[in-house]
Amino acid sequence: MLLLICPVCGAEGDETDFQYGGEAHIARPASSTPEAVSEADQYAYLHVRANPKGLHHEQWLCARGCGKWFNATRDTVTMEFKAFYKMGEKPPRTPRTRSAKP
Amino acid sequence: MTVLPHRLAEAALGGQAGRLIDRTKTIRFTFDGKTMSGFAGDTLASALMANGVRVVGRSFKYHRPRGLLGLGSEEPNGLVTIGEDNRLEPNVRATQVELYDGLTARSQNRWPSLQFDVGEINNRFSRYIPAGFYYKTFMHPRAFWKHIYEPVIRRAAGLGPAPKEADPDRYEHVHIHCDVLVVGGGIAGLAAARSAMEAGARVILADENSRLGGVSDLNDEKIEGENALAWISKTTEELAASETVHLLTRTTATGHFDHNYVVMCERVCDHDPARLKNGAPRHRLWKVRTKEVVLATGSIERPIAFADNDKPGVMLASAVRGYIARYAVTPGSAAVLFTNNDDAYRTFTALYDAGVTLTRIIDSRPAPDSILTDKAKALGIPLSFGSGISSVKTEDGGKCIAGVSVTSLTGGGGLNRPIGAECDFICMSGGFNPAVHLFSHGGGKLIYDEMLQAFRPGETRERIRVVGAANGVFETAKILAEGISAGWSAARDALPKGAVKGRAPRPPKADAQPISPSEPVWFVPAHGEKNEGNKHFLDFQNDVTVADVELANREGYRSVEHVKRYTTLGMATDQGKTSNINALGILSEALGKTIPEIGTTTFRPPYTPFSFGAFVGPVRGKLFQPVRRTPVQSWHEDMGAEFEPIGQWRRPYCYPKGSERRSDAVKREVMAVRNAAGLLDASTLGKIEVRGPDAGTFLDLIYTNTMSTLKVGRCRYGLMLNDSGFLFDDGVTVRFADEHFLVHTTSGNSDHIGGWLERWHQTEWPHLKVFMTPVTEQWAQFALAGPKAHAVLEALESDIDFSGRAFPFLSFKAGRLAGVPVRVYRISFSGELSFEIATPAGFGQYLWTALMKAGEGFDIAPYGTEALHVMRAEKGFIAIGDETDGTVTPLDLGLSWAVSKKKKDFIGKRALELPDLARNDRRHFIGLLTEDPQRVLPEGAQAVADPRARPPHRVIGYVSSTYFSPTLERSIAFGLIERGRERMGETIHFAVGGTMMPAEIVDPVFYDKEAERQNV
Amino acid sequence: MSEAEWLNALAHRTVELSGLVLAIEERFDVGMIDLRILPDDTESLAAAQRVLGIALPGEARTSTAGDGFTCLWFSVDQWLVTCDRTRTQEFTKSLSKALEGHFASVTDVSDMRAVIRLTGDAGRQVLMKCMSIDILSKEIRPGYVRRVNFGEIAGALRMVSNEPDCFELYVFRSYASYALDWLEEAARESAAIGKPFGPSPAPPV
Repeated sequence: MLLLICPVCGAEGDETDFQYGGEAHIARPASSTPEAVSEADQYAYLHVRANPKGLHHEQWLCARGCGKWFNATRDTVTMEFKAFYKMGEKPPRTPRTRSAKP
Repeated sequence: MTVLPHRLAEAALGGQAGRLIDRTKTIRFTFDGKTMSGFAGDTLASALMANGVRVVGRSFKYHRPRGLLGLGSEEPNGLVTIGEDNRLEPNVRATQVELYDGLTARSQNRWPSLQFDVGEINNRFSRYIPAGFYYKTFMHPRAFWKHIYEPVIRRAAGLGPAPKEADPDRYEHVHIHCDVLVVGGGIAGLAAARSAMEAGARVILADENSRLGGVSDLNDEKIEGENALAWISKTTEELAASETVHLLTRTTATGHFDHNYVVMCERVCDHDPARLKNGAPRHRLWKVRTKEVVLATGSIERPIAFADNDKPGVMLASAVRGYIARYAVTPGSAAVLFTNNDDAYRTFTALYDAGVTLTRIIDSRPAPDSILTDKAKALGIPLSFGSGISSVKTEDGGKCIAGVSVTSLTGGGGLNRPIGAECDFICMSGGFNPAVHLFSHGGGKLIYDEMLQAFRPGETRERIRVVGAANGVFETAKILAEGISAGWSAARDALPKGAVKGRAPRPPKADAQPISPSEPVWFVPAHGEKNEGNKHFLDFQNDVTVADVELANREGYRSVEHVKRYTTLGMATDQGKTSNINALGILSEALGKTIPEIGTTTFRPPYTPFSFGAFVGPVRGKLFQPVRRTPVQSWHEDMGAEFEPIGQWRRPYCYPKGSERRSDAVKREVMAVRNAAGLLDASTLGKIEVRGPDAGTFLDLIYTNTMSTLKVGRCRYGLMLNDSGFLFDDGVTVRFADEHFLVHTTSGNSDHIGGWLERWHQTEWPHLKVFMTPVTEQWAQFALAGPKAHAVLEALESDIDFSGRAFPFLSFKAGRLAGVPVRVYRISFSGELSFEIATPAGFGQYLWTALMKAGEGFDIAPYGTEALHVMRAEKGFIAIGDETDGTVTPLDLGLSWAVSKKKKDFIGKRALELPDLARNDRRHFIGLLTEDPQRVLPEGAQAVADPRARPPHRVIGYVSSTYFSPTLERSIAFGLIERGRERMGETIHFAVGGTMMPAEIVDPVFYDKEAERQNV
Repeated sequence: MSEAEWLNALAHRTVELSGLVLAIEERFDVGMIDLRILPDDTESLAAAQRVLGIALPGEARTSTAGDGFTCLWFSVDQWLVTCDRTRTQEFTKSLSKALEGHFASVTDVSDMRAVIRLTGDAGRQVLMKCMSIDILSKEIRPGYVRRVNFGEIAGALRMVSNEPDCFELYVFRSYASYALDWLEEAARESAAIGKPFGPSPAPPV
């Protein structure tokens, strides 16, 4: 049960208060050049996604909060969220995972 | 001659035995139908022992008689069925059942009785049913699979019986937050909780037992010069009195999840079922979000794998002294102690002090040397060092122990003459495993400690600290120091920077007991016979032996993951609590690898099983799913409507009159609308207000149509695609003003599309100035349809001119009707003259009733979703969810007129141009008329390319909608058929129930092709 | 023709309070207006302020009260203005007029939500069974507003006052009956959990 913090309104909540939206920072080709989108670009935009073992930049919706979409950087191995940042922003630099000794 | 387990006299142990029982309060219970009695404070396990019960169940596979092994939640053998009828619960550990008056308990997995079990025949054939035998059997003949093998195996499988009636009790979930969660209320946990409290943190402390203090009462510990119990009591009282501590007993932390989310199950009423009558919850699931976790979960004693180590009367050493100290029961009158460590010697002193004879102490270590071994020597107890139990002698068909044979373990050629020792029970201790389960759930890595011969916690990515025995620390002074330090630093890390000042309190003084090291003894060879014939048990609950692990090895299953699954070791309800490490020891010797090299399997929640009820909580019955009510719901219910679920709504499907069948009601409603007037509750359709200077631009990107050209006061039917080009919603958009639109969606998609619009706006086109406000629930909305619709409206007071000239098809007017504000849209899904009338939800019932009354003179009838669907099908209109399945484009549906060719971009435009969506041999939307007009094609029926070909057929499409049309007095259907539009007039065949049903491909508009009726 | 009758969301239910630790009642005299203004649009915000006489709350999860109305923060660009039902038209008109020509949105949504008021010392303990937020936190004071998962539906919680604690729960109208069912289950006396983090009898050792 992941814990998230919305960077727009500051609400902290269980993942059930939010909605996952897949990989972030994917440009929609038709939005910029609607008349010149190659098949390959359209296909990649629709169907090809990164599947990293490690840092993943992804979109989330503050569904039970302010209703705004935002971005997050999550480590897909440790499930740790490294950063929450607003829509339209670039992912901030994040430190390596430090593991804690009990 | 064996002596059965029994209660010790009150004077035993200087009056110190049975600390937890109250001999003045007798409690009556039944076991296997026999009435017995115990005392308040007993568990079912201790009460059974007090009543001389040694055999409490039969093992899973071999049906061997079994007795209790342990004291608490680690118990693998003593699984009983508690209660009856709708409160029957199987597989409950007798060691955790607090005795109450009237409790009924039954042993499991035996027929006809515990003493004489037919299943014991399995034990005689045990050579043929080792681990994994079912992978090599039950294959022939094939005919036996369904009718012989499966039913027999099903009946044999499992332990306790499943209840047959619904659970009548209530359960609940509670959410709680804290700074520091301490799991485990022994001295480690109490120390941590107290120092966290002192540091100012909000603390939750949970323990799975009904009492705090852990196992200190069994370990003769002294804190600040006094018996540890004094410190425990004082600390407990301090915690209970605090404003910042929440104490929970009878509460098992069952799983640790991401970011320190811990789920705990509290057994609220199991010890006091009388409270259930008043509606108290039986179990309560605490869902804890904590900043820091301190695990003080203690350790679990290990059995030793000697031959027949599962006989009734073989018990864990610390458990035996627990039964004596807490419940004043002893498993017998003559004991043998077999150990590889010093802790078990505490059991010898407890037994000795309780007047139980020790016939021999067997220590696998060649030269153990401590105060306790000296004491044993001084008391003249026979000692065997460097030795082990090589066989167990039994009586009474294996149900009682008579004695053991002891052999030297230290080589010495072939002259290992065994020594005999008489006894009626055996205390064994193979060491202690830190209980690291919750630590592992969180992905924590375990490291193998050579000193302990056990795994203890290593690195973790979560904010978890482990203290005490769970961390491999067993000395009182060290435990207290560690606990206090962990609690303090946890609080400091949880609270805001700088909130916790100073240092952790100093730990109280405690005795340090010198312990001589233990040495591993993974396997004790049997005396005499072949090893396969002797059962050296590892997993008691799943009947897995050392021979099984060796067999798995020989068959090539060498990794610990394979061994686990092939033998099922560690897969029973105890998740291997008393078997995992022993198995690793065996594997290590068999493979010649070290234990760390072999590794462990992953522990997973739940730590111990908990009830389905607790899992479900309140989400059952009328709370199983939120059910939504429209503003007119009560009226529909009072009219006896039959409902169908649309998302979370219950919409009227039809309104049967009298004893009308549904199909007749639907026919009547269709004819009412076609000939007179009908009223339908369309409140569930989504409505979203879209406002702003860029509203039109935005809608142009969302829809295939050009909404920005829609005139004020007009309506337009629009299609919504996803960016893969597939149609997923349709609806009418209305323009109220230059910068103000209202979007309608289907009922099932209303919430989804509100989110869809926001997502696209926020993530793709945030520069567009547009606000979206969902108003689905603000407005009740009704479709008044039929040739008399206009007349009905005229019968009500209004400032709106509803005449055809003033109010053309696909337009909108606002005003008042029957005294309430309304928005009226002239749109039609039925194909008749139709007005959709919206009014604020609170006026919904009133307006509905007013319309029905006004329509009385015109034979108005309420109509439901099925009548509506029949009528739209008669008119050739698609329905989202019927003609769409996520792979259908507007071009497939013949709706290219709604797809703008001029717009540069809209969602789905580019995808429609991709080769696969632009193919001309895709499935097209067409109408179907069956050869026999009275036969209705089944929904989803598959069309075949050639009905005369042999199966498997090539499928060319399917039936997407199908009805009996009362208007046309024959069946009609829609299909999505390959190249359908090029095949008008062709007869194709549908595979229906083993035959081929022919139907002609036709225009999907079956009725009123010129659309005259909706345009009057 | 009879006088138009306006029904509240829970008109079909009687709230049975016996055996509950909380007073539960529906407030159906509440008018509600959804107001949207971009957070950096100082002119529009000022226009709204002139009508309302107070500033719209800029801080998340707070509310401000004025003469006859309350403004609940719902998002960075969204507020719910609540007032007496009889004044909704008045406020809607004056806000719409003041924001004419501005990029803003004013919508009467009075019928869209049901408002359920919970009063009693056990309020927070009951809410612990309804939502996963830290309801016991000191941050939750009168004026606090938070959109939440209530049971399995969307809702908003507002703390109205304390001594005794008084909360209002906003849910969409169609879910009002479900919300009441959930509350009745959670507020049973026989299921009371007492005050967590407070003095309690010491468990035995």
